Amino acid sequence: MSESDENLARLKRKLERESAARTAAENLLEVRSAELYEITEQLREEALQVKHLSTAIDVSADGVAITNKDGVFTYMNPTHASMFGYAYAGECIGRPWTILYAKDTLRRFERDIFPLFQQNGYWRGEVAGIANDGSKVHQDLSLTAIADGGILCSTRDVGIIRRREAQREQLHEMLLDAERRDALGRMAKSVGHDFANILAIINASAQLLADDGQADIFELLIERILQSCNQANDLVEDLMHFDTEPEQKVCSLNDLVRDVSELNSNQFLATQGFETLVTTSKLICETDPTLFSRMVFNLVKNAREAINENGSVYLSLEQIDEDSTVEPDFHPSAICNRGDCQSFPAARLIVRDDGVGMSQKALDTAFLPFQSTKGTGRGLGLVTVDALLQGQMGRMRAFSRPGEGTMVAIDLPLLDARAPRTFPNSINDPDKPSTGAQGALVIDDDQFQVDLVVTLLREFGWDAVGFTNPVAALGVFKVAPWAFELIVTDRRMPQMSGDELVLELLDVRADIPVVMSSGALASPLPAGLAATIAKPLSREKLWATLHKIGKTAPAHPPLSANE
Amino acid sequence: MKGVVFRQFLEFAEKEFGEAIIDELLRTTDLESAGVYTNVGYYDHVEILTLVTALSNQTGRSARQLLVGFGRSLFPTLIAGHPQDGISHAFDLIERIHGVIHRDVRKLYPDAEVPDIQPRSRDGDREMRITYASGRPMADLCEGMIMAALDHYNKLEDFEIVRTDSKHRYLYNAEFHVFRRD
Repeated sequence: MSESDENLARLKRKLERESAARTAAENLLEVRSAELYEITEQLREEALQVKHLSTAIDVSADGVAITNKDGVFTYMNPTHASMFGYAYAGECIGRPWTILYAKDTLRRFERDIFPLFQQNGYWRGEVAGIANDGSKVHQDLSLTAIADGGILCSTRDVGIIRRREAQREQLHEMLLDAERRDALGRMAKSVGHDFANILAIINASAQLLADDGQADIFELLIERILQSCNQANDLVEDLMHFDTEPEQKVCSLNDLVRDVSELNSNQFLATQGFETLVTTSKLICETDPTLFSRMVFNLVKNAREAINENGSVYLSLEQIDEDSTVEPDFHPSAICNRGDCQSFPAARLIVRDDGVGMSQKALDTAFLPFQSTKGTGRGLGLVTVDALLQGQMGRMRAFSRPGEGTMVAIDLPLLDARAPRTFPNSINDPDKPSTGAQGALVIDDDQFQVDLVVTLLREFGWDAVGFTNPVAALGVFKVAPWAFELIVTDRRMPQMSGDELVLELLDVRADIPVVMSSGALASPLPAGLAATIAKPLSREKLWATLHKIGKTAPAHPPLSANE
Repeated sequence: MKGVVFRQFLEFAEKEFGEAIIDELLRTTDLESAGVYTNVGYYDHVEILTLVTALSNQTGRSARQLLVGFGRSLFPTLIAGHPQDGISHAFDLIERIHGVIHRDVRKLYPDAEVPDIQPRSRDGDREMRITYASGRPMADLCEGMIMAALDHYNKLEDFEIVRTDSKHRYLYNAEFHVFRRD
C-alpha cells in the first residue's frame, strides 16, 4: 500500500471516528435534553412548592427568619419584621441578628443559649428582644441549626399572648361584675316593685287622711298604713334572710287571704273587677304567714297587672279532698306544675284572671327568682311559691292561654285530719239552704267605699266580700246565693244600676236582705229593699241599719254593741 | 472522566507524535469506546491510562513525561471556559480550582469525580503548598497543569515546583511546593 493510500485510509478511519463521535454526541445531547426537560419540570414543581411554602411563611402569624453562618439575616418574614417594629423585612436583611437584642441578652446568648444550641442543634425558650423604637419584645424563640451553618429562627410575640390573657381576664372580671350588677339590678327592681306597691297604699291612705275630714275612717286608714309598714318590714326581713327557711306558724289561711285581698282591693280601677270568695270554714295550716301573704299578694298583683281596664280577677280559698281536681274554665295552652301535695284535706287557693295570659315559656320562668317577663321589676314575688311549697309539701298548678287569662291553684295540706266545716252554700250545691252563713256582699263602684263597708262589716263579725263591679257581684251571687246573708249595694254604678241589681239579686233569692247605701236615694226605690243608708256612710249608721233589720252577725256581736 | 480530556489527549499526542502514531494507537488498543470520544461524553478513566501506557510504549517517552506534557497542553483548553476577572497570578487561579472551577464542572456533570486540588498554605505571591488527592493516579497530570498555570502568567521560569508523593498512594496523593526562585 502506497503512503498516500495509507494516509487516505487513516483519514478515513479518523473521519469514521469523528462521525461516530458526532452521532454519539447527538444521542447524548438528545438524552441530556430529555433529562434536562424532566429536571426542568421537576424544578418547576419544586419551585411552586417552595413558592407556596414561602408564601405560607410570609403570611405566618409567627415570625420566621434565617441567618447565614455569619449570623447575617438572609430572610425574614413580615411578621418577624413587624414584631420588632420594622416596616418591612428588607430593613433587616443583610444585617446581623444581634441588632435585635440588648447587650445583656446577647451575653445570655453567649453564656447559656449557644452552648446548648451547638450541642443539640436547637434551642427553645423565652428571651426579650429590642424593637426598632427601643421597646422590649417578649418572644418565645426557637432556634434550629441548618446545614450551611446558618440558623432558622422562629419566634412568637409572647407579649401579645400575655396582653390577650390580661384582656381576657379583664373581660372575665367585667362579665362577673356585669352579672353582679345585673343580679343586683333585678333584685333592686323587684324590691322596688314590692315597695312601690306598699308605698302606694301608704300614700293613698295618707292622702285620704289629709283630704277627708271624717274622723271615723282615720282608724281604718291608719290601720292600713300600719299594715303596709308591717308588710314593708316583713319584706325587708325576708330579703335579709332570703336563703333562710320559712318560719312556720299555725295560722288561719282565711284571715290571711282576706287581709291580702283587702290590701289589693283598692289597687284595682273602678272599671276592673276584683272578687274574693273565702270559705267560712277555718282552714288552719302550719305555714309562714308572711310568706303566704306575700305569695297571695303577688299572685293577685300579677293578675291585676295582666288584665285590661275592664278585666276581672277572682280570688278564692276553699277546702278540697284528695280527689278534687283543678279545672280551669278555658282550654289552657300553657301548664306549669310545681310540688306535690300528699296530705288531705287541703286548702286550695285560686287566683284567676281574664288578662293577656302567658306563653309556656313565660309561665315556666314566672316562678324562677329574678325572672321578669314584663320588664317592670317583677321576679321576686313568685319565688315565695316555691319556698312555700317546699316548706309545706304543697303543690301548684298554673294554667294559662294567651288571650284567655291565667289561673293559678295552690294546694296546701291542712294542719290536722279533722274535717273542717264544709262550706254550707257550696258552689257545687247552690240550692242547699244556709245554716248560719255570715257572708256579706258589698257592691260599690268606689273602691274606697267598698273597703270601708267591708272593713266595718268584718268588725261586726260578717264575712264580707267586696265588689266594685255589680255584674261580677251578681255572677258570684248567682253561683252561691246561700253563701250570703246580707248585701250592701250602691245605687249609681256604671256597669249596672243599683235598682237593676237589687231586682236581679232578689230574683235569685227573694229573702236576701239588701241594703242600698247611696247619696241619691230619691224615689222610686226598687221594691224588696231591706233598708237604705244615706251617704256618707259611717260606722254608726251602718250598725244602726243592720240592727234595725236584725242582721248583725248572730255568732259574733259587733264590738260597738259592747261599747 | 470528561470526553474533552480524551479528545485533548489525542490532539496533544497527534501534535507531538503525528497522525500515524495516533491512528496506530487507536487501532491496536482495546478500548471500550473504540477511541470515539465527544467533548460532552463521559468515559472510564482507565482508558486514558491505557492510552498513555500504549503511547509510552510506542514512543519510548515515560508516562510521567506524557502526562506532565499533556497537563500543560490541557490547561489552556480547560481554563478558557472559565472567567478570570481579577486574577493576575497563578496562585489566585489555583485557589479557585476547588471552590469555583470544580463546582462549575459539577453543575454540568453531577457525577463527575473531580480531583481534590486545594492550596494548603500561601505566602503572598511567593510560595504556595498545594495538595492533590484523587481516585485516579494523575498527580503527573496535575503537575503539568500547575506548570501551565504558572506559564499562563509567564511565571514558570520564576518558580520551582517540588513534588512529594504519598508513600502509600503514589500518584494518587501528592503535595506540590511551589515557590519563587530567589
